[in-house]
Amino acid sequence: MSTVATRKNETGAAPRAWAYLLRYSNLWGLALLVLVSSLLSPAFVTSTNLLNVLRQNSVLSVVAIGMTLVILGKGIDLSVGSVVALSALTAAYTHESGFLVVVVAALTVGAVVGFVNGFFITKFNIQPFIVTLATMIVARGLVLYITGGQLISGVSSFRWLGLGKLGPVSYLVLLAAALYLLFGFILRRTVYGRHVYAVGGNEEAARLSGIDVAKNRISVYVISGVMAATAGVMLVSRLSVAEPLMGDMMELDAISAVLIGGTTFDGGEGGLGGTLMGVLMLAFIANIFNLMGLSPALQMMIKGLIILSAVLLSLVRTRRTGR
Amino acid sequence: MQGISKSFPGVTALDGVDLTVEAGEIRALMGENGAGKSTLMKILYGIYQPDAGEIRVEGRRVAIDSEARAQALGIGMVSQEPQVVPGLTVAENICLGRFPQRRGLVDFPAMADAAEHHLRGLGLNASVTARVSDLSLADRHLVQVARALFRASRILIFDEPTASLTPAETEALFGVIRDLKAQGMGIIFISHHLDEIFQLADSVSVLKDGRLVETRPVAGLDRQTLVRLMVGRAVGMDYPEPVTEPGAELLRVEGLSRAGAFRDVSFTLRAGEILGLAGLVGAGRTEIARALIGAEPADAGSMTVKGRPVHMTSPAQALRHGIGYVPEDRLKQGLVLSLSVSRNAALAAQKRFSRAGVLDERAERAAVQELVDRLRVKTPGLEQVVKYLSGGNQQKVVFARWLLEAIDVFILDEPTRGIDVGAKAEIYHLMRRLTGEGKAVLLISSELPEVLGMSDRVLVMAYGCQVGLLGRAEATEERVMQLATGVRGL
Repeated sequence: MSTVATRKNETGAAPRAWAYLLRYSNLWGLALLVLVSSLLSPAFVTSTNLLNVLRQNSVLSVVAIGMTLVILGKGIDLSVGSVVALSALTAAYTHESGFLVVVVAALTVGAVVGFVNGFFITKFNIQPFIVTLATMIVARGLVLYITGGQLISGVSSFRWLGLGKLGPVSYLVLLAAALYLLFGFILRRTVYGRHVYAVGGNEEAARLSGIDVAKNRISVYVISGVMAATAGVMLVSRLSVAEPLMGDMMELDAISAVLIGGTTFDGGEGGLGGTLMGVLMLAFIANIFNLMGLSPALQMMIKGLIILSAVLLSLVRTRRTGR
Repeated sequence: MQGISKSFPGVTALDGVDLTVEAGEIRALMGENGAGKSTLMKILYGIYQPDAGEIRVEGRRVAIDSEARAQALGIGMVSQEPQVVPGLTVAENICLGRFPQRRGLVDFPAMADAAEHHLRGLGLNASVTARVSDLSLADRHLVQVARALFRASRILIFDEPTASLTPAETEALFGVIRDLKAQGMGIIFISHHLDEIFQLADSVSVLKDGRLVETRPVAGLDRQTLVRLMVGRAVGMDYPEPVTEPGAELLRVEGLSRAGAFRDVSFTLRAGEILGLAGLVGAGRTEIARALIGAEPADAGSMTVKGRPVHMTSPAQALRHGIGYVPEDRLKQGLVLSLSVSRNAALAAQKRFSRAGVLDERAERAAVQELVDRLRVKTPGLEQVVKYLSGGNQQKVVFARWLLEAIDVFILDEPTRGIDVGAKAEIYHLMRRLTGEGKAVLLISSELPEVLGMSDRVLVMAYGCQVGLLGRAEATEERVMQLATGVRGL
């Protein structure tokens, strides 16, 4: 006991600074990115540009909320991109009946897909990857079948959501921010949120402690479906069209953001704050590449490397600081 | 093996153990759980390195630093659960890692020949091209034996190979082992079952608390003597005395059964009482506990909690009836290792500290802090991630979880496994404090002195059946071991 204590004391200021740096590596990474970006392009740190970046990424950021809950619960949801399209399509078909109908219909569709995911995963004990891969394909196929591959335009009855602003800030950004606050609160401060962490961290211990594991696991997929559906409505409100390939590959962007944010596939570790930083990091990189007129191909390569280094960094962090 | 010693952090697993096996000898290795049998065999098989002592094979001193080295020296091991790859064929499993090759490709005919050769006489009812997933458990054991034979020619270790076999399958395996002996192999056979020792072994070495008690030829040894050797005298551990007269009946179980796990178990548990549940590993003790909390519900029999009949189907329901379970494997079943002390302790009780689903973190922290102080959990703080605590402190955190709840019946499954002596004593005192407060405890433990020292009554299980319910006075180590190992008489 005492030897451990002495050894800890011997580690002086330098390692502690290291630990501090490592612990908040996401934040430092983001700050560094902003700094470098602003040096590279004077157009970067203008409020117009930054607000625009936020608006463009509000949709992905909402999808990433659901993905964070799912991955915290030791699952994965590949179906979110297809749900975005299915929700957009639902919104396009109902948009003449008023905004309330649009919201209820689209979110119900998302909840149903999420429930189906959760049901098959818990009831038949099938791996989440397989179930959500299947629903991803089925939902995308359904969208293509219904639309015949055609784009639906003139979905303009709730354009106010996509184009409206409170002061300089888009409603979409405000909506995403509100959802981050809400789910941040739920994850940190409610019994339900604690149970998500517990079920993801050790399902058996959670079960033996009297937590209804199946219900909890289904619920995160329902939330993920509802978030993806919300994102679908947001996307349509911005573009006024519903297009069958909407949200394609968005599941991978959402997973990337969650991983960069320090939530691990082992479940029970991480949180929404990290995910938000992951979304912003990806967004700023895309933005600075656009501003500098660099190839999107290069951008993809950098994205991949960032995911890898973020995960490596969090491994180092766990080993060095023990948290 | 001479003077073998091995320590793990906080425990001395082996202390100067000698073991010699002759060609053509079957040596049984016995001892209670934690006596050091498996550690000793893992050293011989190169999985652990000894801290002291030396190993000689055919007179030559050797350092066995890997499993591959052990195999090269002709040492093989057949583990308790068959280590096979279900998707591969019998031949592939036997030759695993040593596939015969020709021009860089797997030489399947040669592999089949090798497999046939080593299966000869083992009595496997399947072709070498059958998939192992289609084989019975007994046949998988034979595949494992053949694999060991494929690599090893001198010494074969069997680590409780019969734990999951039927009597007929066991008999067949014994035939195989006798044949190997006749071919001049040295056999080391670990078992808990006295009958098997007397049927099979030439000599027996008994370990206790990491020391070799004695090695004797089986001929001329009787069962009572062997039990006494195994039990020996416990190292001095003070168990707190029972302080209360049992009160109202909290739990009554009648004819409880679950197919394939246990059958016809009946007992009562009264307030202020500790009921010990003794038996060998695999006797059905944990299964009873899991049935009582509804994790794997019983399929026959009745259960009455505080006078009300209950059909228990989930741990959540058990919690509502005031039954809490401290599982045997705290890392896999007890704790969420990635979360803090505070969150782990409050895992079951969070509804108590919340209104409309929102947590009152201050109330929660205060309650957890009080328990951390009371149980003397050594932790830098409530926010410490629980995986960095020592075993004993982790166990206290699991305990704290149920102390935060309105629990009347504590089911403790191996509550002191792998924790140090000081923490053990604290857990014992905690148990007595609970019974003093009118709670009841069902104590499952493989450590006999612990069961006997703590329990007011002891229920003994063997092979899924209830074989005895002893009062404190009649529950002696010999008596319990005789019942648990199926020795009649006396």
